[in-house]
Amino acid sequence: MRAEPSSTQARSRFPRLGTAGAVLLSVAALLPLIGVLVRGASAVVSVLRGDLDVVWTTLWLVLAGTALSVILGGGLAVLTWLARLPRWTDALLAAGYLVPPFIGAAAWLAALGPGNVLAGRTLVPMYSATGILLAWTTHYAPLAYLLLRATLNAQGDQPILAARIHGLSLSRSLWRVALPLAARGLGATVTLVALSLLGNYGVPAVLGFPAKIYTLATLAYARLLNPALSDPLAAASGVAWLLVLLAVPAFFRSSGDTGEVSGASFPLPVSPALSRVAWSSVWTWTMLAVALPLLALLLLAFQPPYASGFTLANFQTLFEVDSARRGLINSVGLAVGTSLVCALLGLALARAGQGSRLARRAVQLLNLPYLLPGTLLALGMILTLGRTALYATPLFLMLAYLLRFVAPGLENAQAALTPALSQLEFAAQVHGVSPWQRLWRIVLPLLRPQLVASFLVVYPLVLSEVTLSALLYAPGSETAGVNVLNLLSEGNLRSAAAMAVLLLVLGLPTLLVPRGQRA
Amino acid sequence: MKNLALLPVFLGLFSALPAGAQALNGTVTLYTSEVLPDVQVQIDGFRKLNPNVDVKVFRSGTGEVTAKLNAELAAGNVQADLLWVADPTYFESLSKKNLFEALNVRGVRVPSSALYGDGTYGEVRKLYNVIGVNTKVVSALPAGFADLKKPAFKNKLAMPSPLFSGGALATAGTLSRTYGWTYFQALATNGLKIEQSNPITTTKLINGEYGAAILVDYSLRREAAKGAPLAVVYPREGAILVSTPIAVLKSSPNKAAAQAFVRYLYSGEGQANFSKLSYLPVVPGAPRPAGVPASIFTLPSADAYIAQNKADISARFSALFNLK
Repeated sequence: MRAEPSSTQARSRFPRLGTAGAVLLSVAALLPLIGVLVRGASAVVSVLRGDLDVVWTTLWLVLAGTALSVILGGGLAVLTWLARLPRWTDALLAAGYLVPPFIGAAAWLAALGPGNVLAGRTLVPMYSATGILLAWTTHYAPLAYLLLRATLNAQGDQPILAARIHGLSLSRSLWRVALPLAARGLGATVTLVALSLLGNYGVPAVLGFPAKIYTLATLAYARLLNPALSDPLAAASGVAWLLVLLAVPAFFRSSGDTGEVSGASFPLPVSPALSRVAWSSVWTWTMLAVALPLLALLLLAFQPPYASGFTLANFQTLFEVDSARRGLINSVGLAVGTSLVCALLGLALARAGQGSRLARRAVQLLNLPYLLPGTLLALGMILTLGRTALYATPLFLMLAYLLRFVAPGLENAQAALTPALSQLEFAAQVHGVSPWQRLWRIVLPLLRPQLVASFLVVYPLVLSEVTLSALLYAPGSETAGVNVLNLLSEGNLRSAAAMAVLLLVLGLPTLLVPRGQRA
Repeated sequence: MKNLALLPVFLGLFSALPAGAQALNGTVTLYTSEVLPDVQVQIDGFRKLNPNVDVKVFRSGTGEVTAKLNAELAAGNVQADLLWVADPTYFESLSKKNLFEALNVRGVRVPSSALYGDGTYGEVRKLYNVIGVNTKVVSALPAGFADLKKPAFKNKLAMPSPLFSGGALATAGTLSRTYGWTYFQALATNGLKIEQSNPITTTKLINGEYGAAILVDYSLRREAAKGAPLAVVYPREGAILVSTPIAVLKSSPNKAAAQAFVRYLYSGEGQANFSKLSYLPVVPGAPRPAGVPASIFTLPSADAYIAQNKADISARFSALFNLK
């Protein structure tokens, strides 16, 4: 994917500056992570001794959630692919991924939990492992769908067509040919989903805390905010160690290169039965996993307490609270600011990576804060900057967000820096155009779509961030996501629903992301 | 210039005025376990009188607030000017470490019984643990805590976890000291369930998952006023006072404004706000909230006992109800 570092010597001071920046940034990202591991080393044994049950709970929840997400998402991907459903069904199936997981959890509470809008009485015990798996699956099965669908699309029709021509039945050609060919993509999908679940804080925070079900991500939070501990930061860092240990096996899996897209294809005949099954699966998923919870959330947000009808009072009470208003303003400001910086920084780093191997290595390290559970980075930020004046300001959060989300911005930029662009730049250089002019006149205009895509990929991630924010926020740097969590823990479900609806509306620009660009 | 000559006179005049008359400004940060909409009412009232003071709030459960403050104390980077949570033992320890300012309550009428720790922290309003009953689930109201052992309440009982909620710790400590652990053993046999927090327990009680629960009174009253099928029973044996004091931290860079906020809570207006929010005011003569008995009979305070035996109470309760 990366452009060849051709014509390196012709590249002047520009990349050297970029290399220095890349190295500096990756050091800034690694220091907090290493700090946490050092600080927590002494506490690992006591965590293993006292909280082994949480390790097992985390492990089985993550495995079950991954299995459910990959089987459901993968099943939908195979069905829609085989039945050649139109492209717009993609949007229906991906919609669940655009709802942040903790908002999904709140939506399921609104639909099925105590005091729900459908029946009033609890329909499914949502404060439970079942609830956590339900919320996880409705968010991460669409992710598995998107990733696996891309793998299958890349494989094209030819292998399965060849198998059919040689007399294999549809199911046998699927098992023997198409799925084995998709194995690498499947492995990458499993890895990514499992890592995401392991690091997910919002869902077990909303649905686990009240039932005293902890995962490692929420246990780290509970340890940090436990008044009885003499050194809460070390205890939380000990938990972070286990998060890293559980995440490590995932890094040994193959990376998710989906291979080259095959050329033209002969349309396979689609049996009417297959088509029916595929269509009904798509609609069942859309209705049950997307429409039902979101509709319930919407109803709850506009419902007066203990009565039916329509009211704006839930939004009104929300706006009367200073910290809720400030949270919304902070979140939007941070989302716009961080996405902008991530997009530009991603471009600068990708360009530096083109010119220098050192920079390329440094840039690779920036994936760590993105892939490792966010709890680790948050604890690291407290360790390194918790005593400075940055603490309790929105800048403190922004720095954390930047380190975490620069990776997805970078990925976009790397994909965009093609050899053709390098050649164009080289031509300009030969004609004596200065580096800044080349950037301004050639690179930025040509890369504008990618910059916009980078921006739109990072924007929703920051807007609804809770994993880092829950640990790092302080009076003055509240965020909207943390507000939702706090309102839920205060039992104020309606105002929480109102805030969640506002977040969903503010997140709508994500829909403008060109397909396939989503991180 | 003639005016300049008058300047020292003005300056002298200002310094002679009491602290409350100075125009306050800057930021005050409040660390609290109070629910946000309730705190906001008091902040709005305070800011009407002191428009140049910005009040910021960090709000979470008592345990989490104290942990955050502990971490900031350890790091020497304390953000809080004011502390207001439901853990009198924590206040006692910080007061003994000399981390609190003496409260400046000049100009407001505060009964001496509401001030603790040589006047370094004080009660601004009262709330009690009582029995909340869902009248759709349970037909006959219990008269007191002893009735909860009866078969009529079998598998219909709940209370929040003392490990999480300062209020529930008061319940566990007071009832176990007064009636011995046999009381909670009997409730365990009768199917008492332990939920995490007061709000979660209240929600489930309202939705009919439980028939009766030991909860703080103000939120029960408020939800009942909104139409929830709830009855509030002040137990025959006595209600349990949940102490939620407030204090000004010595490290505060804006003590004058922090003290003014405390004085506002004790003022006629602040106390009336509490009453409107269904809390009981501490200043005599302040209006009482609707639906509250004329006098509330309480069990003797177990705060000192709880402070000494916190770990033991938590451990025995956890063992009895299989908490982690």
